[in-house]
Amino acid sequence: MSMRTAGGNDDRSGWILLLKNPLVLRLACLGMILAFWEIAPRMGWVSPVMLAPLSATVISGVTDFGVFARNLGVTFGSLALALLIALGGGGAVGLLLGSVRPLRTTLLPIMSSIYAVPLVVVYPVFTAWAGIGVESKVLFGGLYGFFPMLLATAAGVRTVDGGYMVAARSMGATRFQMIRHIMLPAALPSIMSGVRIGSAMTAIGVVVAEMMAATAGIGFLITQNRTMFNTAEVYFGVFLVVVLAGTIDWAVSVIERRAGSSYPRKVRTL
Amino acid sequence: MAGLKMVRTDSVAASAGADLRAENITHMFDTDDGALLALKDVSFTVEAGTFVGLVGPSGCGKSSLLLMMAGLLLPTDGRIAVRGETVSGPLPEDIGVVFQESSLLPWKTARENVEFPLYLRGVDRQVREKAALKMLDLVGLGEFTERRPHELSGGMKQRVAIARGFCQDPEILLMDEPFAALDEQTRMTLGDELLHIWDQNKKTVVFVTHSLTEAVFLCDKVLVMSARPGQILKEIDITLPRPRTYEMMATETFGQLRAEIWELIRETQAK
Ligand SMILES: Nc1ncnc2c1ncn2[C@@H]1O[C@H](COP(=O)(O)OP(=O)(O)OP(=O)(O)O)[C@@H](O)[C@H]1O
Ligand SMILES: [Mg+2]
Repeated sequence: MSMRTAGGNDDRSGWILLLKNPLVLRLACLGMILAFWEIAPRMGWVSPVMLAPLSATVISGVTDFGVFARNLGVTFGSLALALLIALGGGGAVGLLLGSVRPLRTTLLPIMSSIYAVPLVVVYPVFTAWAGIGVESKVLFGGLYGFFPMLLATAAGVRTVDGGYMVAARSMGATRFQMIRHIMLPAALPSIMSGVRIGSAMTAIGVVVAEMMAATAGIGFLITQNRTMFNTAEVYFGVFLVVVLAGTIDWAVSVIERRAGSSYPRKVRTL
Repeated sequence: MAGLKMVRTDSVAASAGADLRAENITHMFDTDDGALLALKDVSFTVEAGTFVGLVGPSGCGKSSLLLMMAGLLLPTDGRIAVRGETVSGPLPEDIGVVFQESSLLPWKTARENVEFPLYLRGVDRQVREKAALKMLDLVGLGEFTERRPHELSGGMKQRVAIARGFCQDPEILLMDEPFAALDEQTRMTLGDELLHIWDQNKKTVVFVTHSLTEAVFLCDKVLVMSARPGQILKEIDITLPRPRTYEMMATETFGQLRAEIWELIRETQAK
C-alpha cells in the first residue's frame, strides 16, 4: 500500500497512457472475453453444455483438424459459386434494370418487394428441387445476395447524371463505351456498397442453408455437433464462421480500395 | 476516318471549320400542360470559320437550338445541315459541344478528360496524350494535368472543358454559356484566351451567352433571338477588326453594337 503511494505515480500514469491506446484497449477487451470464456464453464458459472471452455474448443479444433478443414473448404467452395451468382448475376441484372427505362418501371418494384421477403422460408422448396447437396446451398446463398446487389447497382446506374451521358454522346461514345466509361464509374460507390452487403448476405445464405439441410460444410458441422451435444466442436465451428466473415470483409475492402483509388473522395461519399 | 483525324490532331490549325445552316426550325416540347412551342421557324447560316453569337432572353430556346445543332435533339420541323448534309445524330468529328456545367467526368484527371473524345475514337495513347497536354498547355493548365475536377477552380474547370472541345477537334464547336458560372474578371480573361486558341485552331464557333459585352467582343456576327417562341429577330454584323483588344470595348462602335443588341432584347422581353 505504502509503496504504491510513494513511488507509484509515474507507474500509474504510464498505465493510463497505455490504456488510452486503442489497440491496447482492444486487445485487453479481447483478453478479458477469452479469459471469461475459459474460466466461466470451468467454475460452473455457465453449464459446459452451453459454453465449452476455450481450451476444450481449441483442442477439439486441433484433434478434428482434418474434418474442420475439409468442411471449411466445402463452405468456401460453395460460397465462391454463390458469390458468382449474387454479385455477377445481381450486378448484371441491376445494370440492365437500372438503365433500361421500361424494365426499370415494371420489374424494379417487383425486385424490391422480393428483397423484403425472408427467403429462408423457401429453402425447403430449394432442397426439393436441387437436393441437399452443393447445388441447393449455392443457389440459396446466391439468391440471398442477388437482390441487394441488384438493387444497389440499379439505384447507382439510375441516378447517373444525365449531363455526363449527353456530353459523352456528343463526343461519339458508343452504347458500350457509355456503360463502361460513364455509367459504371459513376455508379461505382453504389455498386461497391452492393458488393459489401451482397457478399455478407451470400455468406449468411450459404451457412444457414448448410445448417438447415446439407451433407457437408461448416454450418452442417455446427448443427450435427449440436445435436450430439459436442459443445466444443460447435464453438470451433462458430469460430470458423467468424473467420469466414472476416475473410469476406477483408476481400471487399481490398476491392473497394483498388476500385476506388481513381475516385475523388467527394464523389465517393455521395 | 480515325487515321486521317489522328494526323490532324497532331498538327494543330489545319481545319478551317465547316458551315452550318438552320432551315425553318420549329420545335415543340411535350409538357404536362400540353405542347410548348419553343422555337418558331428559325433559319440562319453560320459561315465556315466564323465566330457567331447567339443571344436572347432566358427560355427563348438557345440551348434547345444548340442541342439540335449537335444532333442531340431532333427538331419537330425543319433541319440542321452541316456542309449541306442533314444532321440526324451526333457527329463527333464534325461537331463538338462545350456545356455550361463543364460536364467533366469527376473520376478522370484533367488530362484524361481532355483525351476522352480521342479515346472514344480509338486514337493511340501516345497521340492523344500529346494532343491533350498541348491543349492543356494552351489554356494555361500545364501544371494541373493530373488533377481531378474537384481539385480545380471553376475557371480552371471551364478551361479544361474548352481544351476538351478543341482536342476533340471538330469542324464546328458549339458553346452553351461556357463562362456563365464565372465572375466577370475570369470570364473576360477566358474570353480573350478563347479567341487566342481559336486563332490557332480555326473552327466554326457558335457561342451562346447572356453577356452582351462578351457577344460583341468575341463574335463576327450575333444572332438576336426573340422571347419564346424563339425566332431570329436580327443578325448583327460585328464590324470590329481582329485581333480584338480590350481597348476596343471603349470605342464608340463597340458601344453602339452593344446598345443595338440590348435594345432588341429589351423590346422582345417587354412584350
Ligand atoms: N426537355 C424539355 N421538355 C420540356 N420543355 C423544355 C425542355 N427543354 C426546354 N424546354 C422549354 O423550352 C424553352 C426553351 O428552353 P431552352 O433551355 O432552350 O432556353 P434557353 O434559351 O437556353 O434559356 P436560358 O437562357 O435560360 O438557358 C423553355 O421554356 C423550356 O422550359
Ligand atoms: Mg440555356
